[in-house]
Amino acid sequence: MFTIANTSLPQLLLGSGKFSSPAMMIDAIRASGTGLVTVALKRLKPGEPSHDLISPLRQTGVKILPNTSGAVNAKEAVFAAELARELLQTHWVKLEIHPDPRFLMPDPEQTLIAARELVKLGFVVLPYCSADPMLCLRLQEAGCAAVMPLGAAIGSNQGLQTQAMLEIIIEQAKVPVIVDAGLGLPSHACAALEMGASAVLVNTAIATAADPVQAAHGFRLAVEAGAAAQAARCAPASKQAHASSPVAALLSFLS
Amino acid sequence: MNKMIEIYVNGEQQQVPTDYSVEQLQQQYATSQQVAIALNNQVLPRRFWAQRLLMAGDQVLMFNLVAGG
Repeated sequence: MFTIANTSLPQLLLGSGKFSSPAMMIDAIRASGTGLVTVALKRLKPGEPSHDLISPLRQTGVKILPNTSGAVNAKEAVFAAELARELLQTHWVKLEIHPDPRFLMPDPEQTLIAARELVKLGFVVLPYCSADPMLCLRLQEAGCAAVMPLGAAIGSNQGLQTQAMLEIIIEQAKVPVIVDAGLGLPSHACAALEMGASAVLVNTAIATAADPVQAAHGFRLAVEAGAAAQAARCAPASKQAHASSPVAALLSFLS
Repeated sequence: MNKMIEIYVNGEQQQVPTDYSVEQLQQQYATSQQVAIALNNQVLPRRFWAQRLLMAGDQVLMFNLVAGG
């Protein structure tokens, strides 16, 4: 478990996108053991059938975290956060501003501007951001409740491409570091926790697996393993061997 | 019959009667799910929906929640 704004949460957070059906999403959420699931805002289209996403999510007992996906600048993100607050009666928000449609890279300048504004407005701000140690420090100074640097591009399943930068971010952070985006395998999540991350957020890797429930189960175990390794403070690697059995001359009398 | 006025809902022009409230408009669009509403680019809290009558030229934006990461 880790804590954001006095709320204790399991270290695996889930996104709700891309599941083949709402029932599959709910089954995967249950298998993952998560306590927090993200959702997005969308403009209603007249005549388009719409589904009630919130009631089934609430039945699982998870906390629902709205994101600002779709916002291309700070102004839009603040507006989206205010809409989400009104809709869900939550002052938590996952701030994400990614105007570039190909790589979906978060806009560092607009994210920082929006973070400062949202903190002033009383939000608990969880910003999705580049794996940039200075930016993460600035977001922390701005009053963000956590930072969410990317492992790789959203939905890319490439794993911890930003590992060296994540290590610096984790070392410097006074708020929880949640590795978000790009994790493709349970082993990536385990490695993030082993490195000292507080949590990971996973969506595509679970939702688009051939068996999302098994994937969710795998990520749950991996996060538990990584958290245990972190708590154990495992010894560092070394270049040469260190015997784990006695090596004193046992049979030297034969020679 | 009531006089009709023109408003915009999510960018599309629509006619509603003169004494039509935001709440009536919301019920026309979304009965089975929660929505958030912005009126002329300001979030309009739910407690004002019933009393706020629509006026000609009003821009209404209506949002719901969808799956996302």
